Amino acid sequence: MAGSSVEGQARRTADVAGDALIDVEGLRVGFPGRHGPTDVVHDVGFSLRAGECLAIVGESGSGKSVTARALVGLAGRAATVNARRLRLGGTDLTGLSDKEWRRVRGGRIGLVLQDALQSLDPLRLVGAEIAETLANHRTVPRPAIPARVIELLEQFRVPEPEVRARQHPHELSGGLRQRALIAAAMAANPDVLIADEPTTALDLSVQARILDLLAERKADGTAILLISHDLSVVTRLADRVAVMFAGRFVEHGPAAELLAEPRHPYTRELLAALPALHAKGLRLSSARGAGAAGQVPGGGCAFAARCPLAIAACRAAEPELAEVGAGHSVRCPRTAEPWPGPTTPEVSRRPSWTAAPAGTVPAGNGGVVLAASGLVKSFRSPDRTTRRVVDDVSFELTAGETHGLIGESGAGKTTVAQLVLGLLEPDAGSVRLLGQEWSPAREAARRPARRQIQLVPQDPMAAFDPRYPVGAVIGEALGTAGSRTPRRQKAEVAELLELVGLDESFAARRPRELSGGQRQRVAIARALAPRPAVLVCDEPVSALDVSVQAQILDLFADIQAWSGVAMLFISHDLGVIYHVSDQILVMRDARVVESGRVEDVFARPRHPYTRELIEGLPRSPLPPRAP
Amino acid sequence: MTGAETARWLGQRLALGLLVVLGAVTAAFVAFRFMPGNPVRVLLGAATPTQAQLNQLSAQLGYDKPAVVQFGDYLWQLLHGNLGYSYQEQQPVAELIGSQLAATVELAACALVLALGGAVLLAVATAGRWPFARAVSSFLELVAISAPSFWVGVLLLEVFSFRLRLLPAIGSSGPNALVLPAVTLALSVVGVFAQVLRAGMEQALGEPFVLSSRARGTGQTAIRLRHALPHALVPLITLTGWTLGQLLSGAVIIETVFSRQGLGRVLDTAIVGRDLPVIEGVTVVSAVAFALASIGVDWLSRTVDPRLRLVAV
Amino acid sequence: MSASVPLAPLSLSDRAGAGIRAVSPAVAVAMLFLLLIAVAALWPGVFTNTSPNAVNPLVALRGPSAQHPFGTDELGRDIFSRVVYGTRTSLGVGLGATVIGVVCGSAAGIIAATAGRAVDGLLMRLCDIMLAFPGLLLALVVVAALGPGSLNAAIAIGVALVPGFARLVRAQALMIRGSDYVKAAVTFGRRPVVIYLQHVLPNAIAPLLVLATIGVGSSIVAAASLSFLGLGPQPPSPDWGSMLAAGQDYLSVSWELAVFPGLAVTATVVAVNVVGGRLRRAFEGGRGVGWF
Repeated sequence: MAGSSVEGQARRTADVAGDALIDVEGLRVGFPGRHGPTDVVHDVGFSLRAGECLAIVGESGSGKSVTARALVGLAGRAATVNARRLRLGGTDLTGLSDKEWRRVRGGRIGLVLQDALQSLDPLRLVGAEIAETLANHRTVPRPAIPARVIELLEQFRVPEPEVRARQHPHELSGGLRQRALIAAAMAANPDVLIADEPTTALDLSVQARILDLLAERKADGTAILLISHDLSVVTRLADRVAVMFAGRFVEHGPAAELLAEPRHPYTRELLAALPALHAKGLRLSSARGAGAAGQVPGGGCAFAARCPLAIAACRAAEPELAEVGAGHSVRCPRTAEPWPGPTTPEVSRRPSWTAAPAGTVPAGNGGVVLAASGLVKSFRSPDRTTRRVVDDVSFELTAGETHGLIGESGAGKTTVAQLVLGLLEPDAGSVRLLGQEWSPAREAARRPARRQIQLVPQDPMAAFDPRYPVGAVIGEALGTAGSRTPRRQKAEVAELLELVGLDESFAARRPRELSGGQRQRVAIARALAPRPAVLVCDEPVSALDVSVQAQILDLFADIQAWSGVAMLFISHDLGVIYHVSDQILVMRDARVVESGRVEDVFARPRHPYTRELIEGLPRSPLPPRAP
Repeated sequence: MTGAETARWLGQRLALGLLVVLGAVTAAFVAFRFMPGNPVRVLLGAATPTQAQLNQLSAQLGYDKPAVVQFGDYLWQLLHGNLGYSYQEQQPVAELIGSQLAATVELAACALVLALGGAVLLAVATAGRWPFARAVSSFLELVAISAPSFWVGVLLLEVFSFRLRLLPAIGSSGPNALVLPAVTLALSVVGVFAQVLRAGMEQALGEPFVLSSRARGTGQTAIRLRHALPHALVPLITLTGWTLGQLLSGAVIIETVFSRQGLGRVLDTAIVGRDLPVIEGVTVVSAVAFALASIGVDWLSRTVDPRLRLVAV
Repeated sequence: MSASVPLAPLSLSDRAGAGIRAVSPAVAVAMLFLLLIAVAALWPGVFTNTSPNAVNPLVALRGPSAQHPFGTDELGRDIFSRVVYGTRTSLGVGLGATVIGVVCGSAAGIIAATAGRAVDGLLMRLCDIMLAFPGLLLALVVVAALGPGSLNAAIAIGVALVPGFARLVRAQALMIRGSDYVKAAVTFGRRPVVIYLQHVLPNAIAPLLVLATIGVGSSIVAAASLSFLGLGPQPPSPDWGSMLAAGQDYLSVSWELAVFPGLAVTATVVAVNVVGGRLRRAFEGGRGVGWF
């Protein structure tokens, strides 16, 4: 039975000689759609050698996960998979029977999914999941399985393997879980590992360790196919990169070269949108919307609708992949054209930003709009222990400035937001809003001032009443009708929609129908409706694709520029924080371990945790862009 | 779960259960002592006593004492296992219930096994497959849920007893007599079981951990049995309370239809004849049974799904 | 807007795409049938000219014929006519019980969720006590206390429904109270009363109504069960359950009396469940247990 290490070794020796382990050409995957079958993956081709890592990069809906799953025959019952060539070593993968596929899956190709909490069976012991692979491929005789499970956990750097093997997935930390998942995928020594977003659900510090683990496997001779939307992850591991858009490879070449000198307009847009790779203060996106990636009627280039270099010929016929360098191909005939910089959108009218009655910034305060001092909050967990979630947190927000709050999950960031918003009372400490007592305070006393501080939430859908259309969602925040006629209300809603870049026809639509980016814009419009002095943004871009994220970040910058609103911006993404913040607060285990102007902190981090975080930020091969 | 945690959890649960039983008992007491009409007269049912006899019986039963004293007596009697005396049946209630309990439990247990087995088969076979088979199965389950059990029982009687003469129509003795009643009772719950199991399985089959397992080379049958089925059983366990209720109330009806011995018949006769002590007695027994069952269900849930152990109580 | 692609769609419940307008043929048939039932309940004369109480011993226990499509019962009465007239009682008890259950249950649930922990504890303990009895038994006990009859049967079944609905409404109300959109309303400075009226109440009641439609189904069965046991509408009122009870006695001679009333109950409840399930699926956006 394939999978024994001796055979594996032999195969690897043969492949080191230069044969591709995986050889794909002309891969097409289609699904039945409402209007007939649609191809989700078009004409994809690549090869992978032992010890090599190819990263497929793209945004949601690009087809990268489908490609990965097609390689192990798991694209789904409804999928039709065709290819001119789809080979694994000497085996032709097209037209395999179910039984033959079972030998390939786990035995010759391993698949690791994201978020081990969902990718490991929560009702089964971690060791049992690993043992399943061993049993399926008879890698070791049955009685030897338990011992081998422990060995594998050790090999994949899970401490106390005997204990962990007998635990359930939710009892392990995120990083350990992911390692166990990788161990389960690799238990039968497959030559190829497909890793689909292996680090997405993990904290920054843990991500680095998982990537190291994968690098070790690569050094050992495993070929790795890495699927990711996160370019920083890719730079650490990939030898070659393929950029995928609308089911096609639009650029494909050596990692260093591609990232240093991107050729295809989409790759350039992606790299331009990354907040981590830029000098601060620049716009990330172009005015053109991040539109739908879909079939262009008439069969032209799928990216044409978004492309700043598109001409009529682009919309007429789909370009072919053409070589532009050694092993580097691009699906665009216009790569020689100069790349236009990002542009500022035109906003025809801006709603008046008069301060609400209770709220002009008191002159003598030095412009401080929000002062939090000594905030403390503890919670009782179900097992009766009290945990301090926020410990002595203090900061001051000034008009027109952004404080970035960074920390890992569980560090207390959201609780700080709730305390500042007056949704939670602190155990100790206080918050003053525009010079007045804000928290702790009686709700009736502070209700008039509530309009001065608003929240942009992480999950807009949960923060909208499920029965309300967009117009009602925003309208509710405008306050009681009072003297406002329905027509006036409609006009104000339209104003706010335009402010965030949405057409007024959106008012009649339901949030359910909108994309993630559009929903977030509605949430921002709603937060601005009461003309607040302070905006608290709790992970507002975490769930968005990079290009959409870029537009939202630009939107925040625009809004702050002409309204002078102070922002508390919470994120776990260091690059985003660096881009948006003037001041930074680093939180760890309920305390603020470092604070200061963001450029200073990044140049000279003092606290070891901050240093660790900044070190973890991948160094980009790109030189910083000139402003 | 450590021993100490289990003990504390169990203790909390038992205390709560006791509270509920106490409440049920009180409710029964209040309901039946203070109903319209002379309770003693109702007690005697069809007999027509003289006023003197009524007074005597009243005093004997303590109905002339203040309510609180009556309640105290009642509780005291309960604690000693004395559930009262049925004048209509001329038997202590405890004895009456005890003698009939076994038959009902036998019927219910049989039905439960049949229903579970049938539902598992249906769900494993049809989850996520063959739209046609699934639709047919869905429809049959829907009919099973919608058809009143007494109608089904009568139909089965008609077909198997009267027309085909395969199985006896009446009686409680022997395995043959158990078949039709157990099948009828099972049919009343198998529909819901199968729906819940199948929905649970289909949801589990769409989860990432199933994809992971398939990516390790696990076959379809093994996936269904090893990964999907346990997940589907969890919501089924929460249904156990409902199930027990259905089985017990179904038993009332089924025993009437098939003229079987059992607690159901006892209760039915008691209700029609307004035999209060028996109704009270069955109420108390039922409350205790359900309180215990609900503790058992919670414990079973925690055992099957270890995630639930994180939340105390 | 990036379209999301179904990856390895093993689950067949991906028909979530159907909006509230798209109705499958099965659901359409069910709705039509319910319409017929409603007409039969309100204007039985539309379906039959024969009186349900016309006794005619000469033609007792006959099979289906042109004059008597469903045959005749032990007293020579036309079964079809009795089934049609019986619709009113069965539907009446079923609907009446559900209304009682929904109204009292919702009230109890909302009060429990909003009136503070003491009241909440008390109400929930009461529910626990009531839930300590299986539904039908509780109804039986209430009927034992009140005596047989249509109204009492409806009350009894309604009372048995109250604790379940109260729990549901309470859980919904609590969930909504803790939801992000209620918190958002707080940040806009809206008063608690306004928040309850505009957010909590509408969102808590809506799913309840959908579940109530399925509750109607089980209420109808419960009503028939009660009358089967002799505790529902008393003779000679035509009623599906008691017809079935009588039919059982005459099984060896005639099958019609046993089959048709039960068929009526089953068909009605199937139709109610199909429509209710469809409503629930539309409301939940495609998830949940549903038929067709």
